[in-house]
Amino acid sequence: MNCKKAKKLISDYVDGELDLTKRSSLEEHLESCEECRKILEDYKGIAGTARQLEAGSPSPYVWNRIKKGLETSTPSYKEAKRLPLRWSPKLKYAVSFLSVLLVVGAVVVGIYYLGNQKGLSPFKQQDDVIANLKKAEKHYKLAIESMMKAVEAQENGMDPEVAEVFQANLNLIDSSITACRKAVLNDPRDIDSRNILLAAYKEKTDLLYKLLNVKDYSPKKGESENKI
Amino acid sequence: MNGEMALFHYSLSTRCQEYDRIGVKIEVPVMDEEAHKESLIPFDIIDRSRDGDHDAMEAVYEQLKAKFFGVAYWYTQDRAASEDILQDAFIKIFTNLHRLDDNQAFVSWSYRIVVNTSISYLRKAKKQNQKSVSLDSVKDFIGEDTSGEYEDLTKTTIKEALKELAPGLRSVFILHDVQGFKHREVAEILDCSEGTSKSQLFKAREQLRKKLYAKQVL
Repeated sequence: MNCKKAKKLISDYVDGELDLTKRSSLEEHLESCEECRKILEDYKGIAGTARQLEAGSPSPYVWNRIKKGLETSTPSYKEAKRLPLRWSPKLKYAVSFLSVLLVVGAVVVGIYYLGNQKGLSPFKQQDDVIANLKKAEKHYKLAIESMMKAVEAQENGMDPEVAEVFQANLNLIDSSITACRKAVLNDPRDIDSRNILLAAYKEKTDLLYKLLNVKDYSPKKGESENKI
Repeated sequence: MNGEMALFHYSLSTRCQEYDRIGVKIEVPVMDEEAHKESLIPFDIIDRSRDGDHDAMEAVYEQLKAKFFGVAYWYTQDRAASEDILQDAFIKIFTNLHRLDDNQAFVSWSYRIVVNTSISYLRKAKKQNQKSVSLDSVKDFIGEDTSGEYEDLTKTTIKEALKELAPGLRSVFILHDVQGFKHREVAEILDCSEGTSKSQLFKAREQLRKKLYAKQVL
């Protein structure tokens, strides 16, 4: 081992960090090299002196300063606990969408359940389906109303052209729902009518889902100007 | 290691070695077991601190203040500045504790905050120093080492030379040689590899050695 290599290992040697092979070759070198032995002694002296350096203790009032600082600053953990639920337009969409989905799901299950129930009189089945539909409609309207408020609350609003297209599609679906509903009311046991009503509800929920992500459908800045 | 305590692993026996075969007796500074008890923090105290319990926070502070003050002091060598660093660091520790999921890592994570706060203090002081007056001219005002204790020339020279080390080298030297951490622990605190810790320490010791030679201390 030459001095250049040895010098790089001396620091680790002082700390006992060398493996047996490296240690043996370094020791062999140290036996014959006075300069490296001096470096070893110096490092040993530096490390030894460093361990004797004392900083003392902080003044007793430091904790009070920290305590005061903790009281005046807003600790992140408190902030996290205090942080109210942000009622963003997007969240409103999501909640509205979820309620629509739940109500529609409940209606569909209810219709199927009642339609498949044996032993109930046709009149009883009809009454139950009508009652369920009325209940569902009430929730459905409330959900849509909440969703529309959320749209209005959105700072930039929806692009008018996009809103118009959505509205036209919604009207179409609503017409289908109305027609299907009439058919179901006329004959609650008619499977085709129930299936079409289910499809209309599904279409409406799909459209509402697109409405949730309406920003993605809005033309980007400058895009509308380029339209012919 | 006790699973309910946040503490570094130490294997003291590996550090206590004597090499008299080559005629040079090396007395490697042995880790003081008592000193490391200071870093022992029960997990429930950490949990309570995380929940904002001031008594638990005070217990953590009492346990770690001397070690952390030592780190800050050897960066700045200024008591008032070190107390400011200690204050800032502990506020950061407690206000961000909820982000730390692993109680086992509490001590090293806290040390890292103290190191970073010290380095950032030095940077600010340097900028301030460039803008206004030199730190030397206000030494008396900011309380430069008023302990008045007798120190040998080597100690004094090392302290002076330490101020001139680059922050990276200074960090490793303070943590390893002054505070007694092992390279694995230094690497954990500074978020670097053990190899980097070793090479930085070698550079730091070499620079200090040259400065000691220049002052004819060695």
